[in-house]
Amino acid sequence: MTVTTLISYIIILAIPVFVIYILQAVDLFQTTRRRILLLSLGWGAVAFGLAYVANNTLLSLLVNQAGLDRAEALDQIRRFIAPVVEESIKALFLIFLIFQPTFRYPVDGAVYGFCIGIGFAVVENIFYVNNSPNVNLSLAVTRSLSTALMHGTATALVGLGLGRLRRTKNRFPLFAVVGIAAAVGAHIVYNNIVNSVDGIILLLLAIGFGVFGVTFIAYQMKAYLRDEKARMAQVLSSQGEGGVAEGEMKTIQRMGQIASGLISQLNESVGEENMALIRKLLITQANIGILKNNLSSGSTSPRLRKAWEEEVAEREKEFLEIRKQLKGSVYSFFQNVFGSEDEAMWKWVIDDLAKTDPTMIHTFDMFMFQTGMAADLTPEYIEQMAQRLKKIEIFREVDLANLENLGRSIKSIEYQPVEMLFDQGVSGDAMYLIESGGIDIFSVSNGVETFLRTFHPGQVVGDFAVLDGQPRSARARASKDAPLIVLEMQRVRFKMFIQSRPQVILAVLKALGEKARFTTATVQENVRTLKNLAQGNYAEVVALAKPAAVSVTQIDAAAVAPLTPEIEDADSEISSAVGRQLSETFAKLASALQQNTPASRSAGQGVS
Amino acid sequence: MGIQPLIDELQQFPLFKGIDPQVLPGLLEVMEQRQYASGTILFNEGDQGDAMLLVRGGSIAIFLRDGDSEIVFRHYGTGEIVGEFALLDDKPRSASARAVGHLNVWVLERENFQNLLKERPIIGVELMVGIAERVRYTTDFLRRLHDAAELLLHQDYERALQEMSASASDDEIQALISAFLEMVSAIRQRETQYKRVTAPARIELDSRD
Repeated sequence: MTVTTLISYIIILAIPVFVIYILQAVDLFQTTRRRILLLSLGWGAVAFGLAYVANNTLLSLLVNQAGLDRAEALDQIRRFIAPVVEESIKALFLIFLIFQPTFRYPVDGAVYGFCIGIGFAVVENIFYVNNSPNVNLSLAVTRSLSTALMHGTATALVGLGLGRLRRTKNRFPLFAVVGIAAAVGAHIVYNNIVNSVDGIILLLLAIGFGVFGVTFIAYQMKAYLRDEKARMAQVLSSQGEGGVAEGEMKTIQRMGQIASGLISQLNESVGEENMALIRKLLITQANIGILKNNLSSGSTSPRLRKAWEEEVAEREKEFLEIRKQLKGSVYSFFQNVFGSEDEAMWKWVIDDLAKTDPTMIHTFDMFMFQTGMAADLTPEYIEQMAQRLKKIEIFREVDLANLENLGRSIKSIEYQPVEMLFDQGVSGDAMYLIESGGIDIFSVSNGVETFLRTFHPGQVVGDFAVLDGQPRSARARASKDAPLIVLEMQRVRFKMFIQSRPQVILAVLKALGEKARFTTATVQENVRTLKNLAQGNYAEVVALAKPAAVSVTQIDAAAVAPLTPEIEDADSEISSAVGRQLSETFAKLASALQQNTPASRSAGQGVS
Repeated sequence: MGIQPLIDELQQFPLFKGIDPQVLPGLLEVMEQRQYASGTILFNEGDQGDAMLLVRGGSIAIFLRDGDSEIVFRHYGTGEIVGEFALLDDKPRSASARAVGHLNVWVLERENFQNLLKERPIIGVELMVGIAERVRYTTDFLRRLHDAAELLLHQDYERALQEMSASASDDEIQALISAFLEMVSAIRQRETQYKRVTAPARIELDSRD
């Protein structure tokens, strides 16, 4: 083996290594798999063998059956038939690949196609160098490079065309035809001039062809993105039927519906990791849009406006940060498909995200904006409502701006005397603040109502219902003397409100946690009391009985403007009341029992 | 090993009993598994409470130091949670904790929990439902206890026992029920004794109801 052939082999074999390295380094969407790149290279080599057999079979057919002169037949095959045969065989693996679930993107087809072409060229170049012992080094090298570039680009075009085919099944596969025609055409031209031009010119032509290939691929990408956008718009709009001016119930129902497939469609296009980032971007952008709508809607208080403006600024910063993490190519995908200038598209995207991932989107604000519920609330009303909510223990830790926002969803409802608000056993779907009139509570057993108590103006009924939606433990009716006016906060709206606001959830959890701590402590306290009673330590029970304790809420309520009497009968307050009552009752019991003891009757004093 | 057994185990803890199992894998991701040798001090009274401990094996003794001596007032065993509210507020620990036996715990740090909440607020919503239900449930039992106590005031032992004869899903409530039942039987016994010795005295009736 001469030095020339040795160097030629090294260069020939270095080409695929270099190509794989480059492809992995610039991998556009990080969706190509190394394994498939290597399989593509391997298929290229196999394709050369198959094409060799096919070309020789055709040659003998032409010579033996058609009676052509062998040299002439060989020339015809080399110049016209071989390009078609070779491109077809190379394409077989691509056809297999595009039907695999891992194949996501037309450009993937170009990448795999390029590898197949390179694999093919490696074997062809080895054949060429092996069969041309007298060729000089520069010709060997330029020719090897040109062949690799030509084969790679040609098959890349085929791959791109086939990749597009996958998405455009129902239309005439124009791009596939153009891609294959370009590949075969280039191949034919190459084979016709390869032996008649200088090595350098050949290389320049091959490079020219490569540049054409890259340009074509870039153009294809743009066309693909345009198609994606149209497709997404179609996916989204088919579900967004009816637009935004729907009734309240419908809006809520739709928000609860499950996946539309947008996310899975996008997963297929750019890969899961990129999709996770794009989703964050979409959510952030959607929330910015929703908050801007809030600001434009006019019905707000100064505090709430400021909070919204601050959140917009914060979210915009967040948007830029997520954008930094996205690769340029993926971001351009995002921009092209979800361009912010297209308003209809955005309406659909937000709508869709609200359905598929309602937890991160400000669906509450969207809902308020779309229904126009809060459109004519005055700043004073919004502020007052927040102050009232702040007094309810579960909202104690929530900041006023959020309470002002939440309070906008509260509706005033009038009930006629004895009209039922809710029935025993029905899942609790709202909390009520009494404005005027009263609410009578009845327990129902065997259809018979037993009156328990009455709630009065300023009191809260069923605040836990907005948290857990548990069945109501009793029936509630408007008192019979006068019409009842209540402010109603629906559970579904409260849930919508908090689900995209972790800081509010945390604040509610904090108050609730303290409540749980308190009830647990009350249980433990009563276990001690019961043990004391069992042991006859009555004096201790009496001594430990607490005077009506001042609860934390009462202190807080005193700190804010006293708009209503103290809220004592909300669910969140009942446990404190029960704790106090227990303490009193047990003290009474203890002193009664104490009087019964012989010691007490003889000495007039308790023993301890 | 699949994740399912861990989720099943997590659901044994009262805090996670009622919540949507779909959020539990997210929670598992931010919890750390730790082992402690018997006798290890886990935290001291006054420390910043910034983590919740879920006991998976062994137990935790909660105690207060009183000069040289220690008062142990509770043991937390498998399936119980120590410091669940440390996640929500930043109060200092009210007592010290020590591992008893080979202790195996899941630790959920407040910071991790709050980050998780930012990523997946739904976990917080679920937790809220769980805690609210517990507060309701406990309050309900306290109310029943109060009704039973009123009945005792009227010397109606039978109905008082009926009011409180139930089995609770919660250990603490169960302790309350047993304490009540023991108390009633102790008082009854004593009262009968007194009656045999002297003429029965009138129990002052509560007439305010």
